[in-house]
Amino acid sequence: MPAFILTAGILIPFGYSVVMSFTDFNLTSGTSNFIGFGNYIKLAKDPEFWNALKVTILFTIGAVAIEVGIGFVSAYLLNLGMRGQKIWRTLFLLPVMLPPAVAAIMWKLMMAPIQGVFNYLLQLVGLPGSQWLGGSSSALFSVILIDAYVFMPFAGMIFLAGVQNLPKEPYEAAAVDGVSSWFTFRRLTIPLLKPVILIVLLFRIMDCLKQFDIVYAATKGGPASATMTISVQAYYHSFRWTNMGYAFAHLVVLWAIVYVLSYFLVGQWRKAVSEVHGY
Amino acid sequence: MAEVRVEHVWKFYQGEKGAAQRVEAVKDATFTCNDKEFLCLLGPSGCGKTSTLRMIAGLEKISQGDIYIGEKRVNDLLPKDRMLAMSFESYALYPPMTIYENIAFPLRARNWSEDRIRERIKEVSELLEIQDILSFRPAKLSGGEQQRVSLARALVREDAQVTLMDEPISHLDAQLKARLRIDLKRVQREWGLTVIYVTHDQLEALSMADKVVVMNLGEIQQVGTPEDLYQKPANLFVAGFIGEPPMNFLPCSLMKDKDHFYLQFSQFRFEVDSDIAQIMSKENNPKNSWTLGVRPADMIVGSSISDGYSLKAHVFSVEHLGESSVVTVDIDGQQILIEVPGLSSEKEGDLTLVSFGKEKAHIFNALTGKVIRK
Repeated sequence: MPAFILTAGILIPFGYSVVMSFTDFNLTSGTSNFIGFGNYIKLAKDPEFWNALKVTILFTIGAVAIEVGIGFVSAYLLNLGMRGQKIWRTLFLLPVMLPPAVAAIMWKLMMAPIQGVFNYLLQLVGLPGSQWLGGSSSALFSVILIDAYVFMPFAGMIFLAGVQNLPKEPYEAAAVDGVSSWFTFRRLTIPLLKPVILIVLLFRIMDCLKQFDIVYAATKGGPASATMTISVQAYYHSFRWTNMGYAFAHLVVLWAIVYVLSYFLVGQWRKAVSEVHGY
Repeated sequence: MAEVRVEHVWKFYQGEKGAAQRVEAVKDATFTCNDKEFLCLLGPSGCGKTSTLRMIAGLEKISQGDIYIGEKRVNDLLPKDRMLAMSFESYALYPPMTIYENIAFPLRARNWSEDRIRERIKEVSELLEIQDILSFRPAKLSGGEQQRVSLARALVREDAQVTLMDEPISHLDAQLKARLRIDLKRVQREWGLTVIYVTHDQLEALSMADKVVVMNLGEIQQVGTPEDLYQKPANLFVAGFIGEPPMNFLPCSLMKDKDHFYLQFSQFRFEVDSDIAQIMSKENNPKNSWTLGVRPADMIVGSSISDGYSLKAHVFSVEHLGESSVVTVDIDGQQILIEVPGLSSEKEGDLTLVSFGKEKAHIFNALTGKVIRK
């Protein structure tokens, strides 16, 4: 029974959204007529949507690459057993404890073109300042940085758990056999960590594709549409322009992308797990 | 290949925080494994043999003392710079790789050609009978199979100066063990390997080793050939540890009757040569307690022996083990085991005669455990 309630609780709103995406439901007029694939045909022809899709994908690629890359390196560093390891680990985790929207506002202040600390620091070393969130070419990169700041420790911590769980003996064998650490890393560590890497990718890719709060708090999708992700765009369609049916169509397409990608990643993850355990 | 010299090596483990006592896992170990020699480190679990091996491998820091491989002091060298091969008791296989890739791993790291790798693996896997499991991953294999793979990965190396083996065949069934003992020894001779082999099984040590280092409680008890250990044990520990069934120990006191010395056990007297008695008198043994040791196989039942000793005793039990029998007799609550070939005709409860040659008796200082020998 609890499982039924839970399943129903998930499925009913989802089903409602899908149904709504086939209507011209409008909050202002209050009308709701079935229009078939009308919203989807409109989407396919809407340059704003294609821009949002591009922005979402670029955002995801950029943010996930930084988070996974730096997260992996930090996990390795944190595992070296330096002095004051506990303090490092706590400091490392701080950004995750911030609400992403708060982190975004904090970064927005630091990135302010005139009174922000970033441009001040750049100036100190003699580099030209940037428009950061305000520049049409730098805004996307800037929100990627904020997302990376907030979620890199999450990736790092999961990697750290993976690195700490690596068996010791195979590394002793490799050390005695005179196998170089790079060779061991490539041929042994990466395959052993593959399930963990895939889990992090799965979580972060899904999260980034759905990105809303950081972007909305930092740029509201601007300047122009430089940081307009699908979620933010859908938000505008629904609550600004009250075109709910069209907004739902955005979300259903986003859901389909997330579903296909996570289906693929979960499959890869299963394969990697069975390889590590050797079945 | 190269010789390995272990000189006054100690291993301390610091106890937990607050515990003042440090644990001494290896105490002042000194021995040499000559080039192309098969050396066994033998002892009960926790005796420090694996710690010693791991220090040679470079996987544990040497707390004190020096280890040389060839002419080079290796204390500060990383494991990879010591040019060793090692097989691990815990197998230490690479879980994501097939068995073939596991064995090929050290060779790939050395950029061997695929043909050369295949040939070499074929040779080693046939020796260890693992040709049929090369395509599996380690988790699919039994403990015995994994152990053979670990051994294969050590043997596949051609450039190793020394091959270290930590209980490499302990998890195999009796038949395979017996075969591998012979094969390992043959391979070691034919390939001219220098092997340091850790085991708790005296049978493995005695059957394969050129030289055995017996350890107990972190200390080396005796270094010698298998024959030495069996025939001339240096102390009570070695005497009791080597040989199956173990040596009989009879508690005795040294007595003097006119000009003759003898050891008194129960109502029996064993004559002691005066020069031996002389050595014994210089020993630290205030309680005059000595132990007379005789191997079960060095005794006979039912008849006396010239230039030997005989004891009258009741038969306590008779075990028929096929090739031989073990007769246990009881003298004043002290049980003595005698190993006799074939089926013994003794019956439980019978009074019988137990005899052994004078030269078969070992005398030990019961206080220090040290053997008394001319």
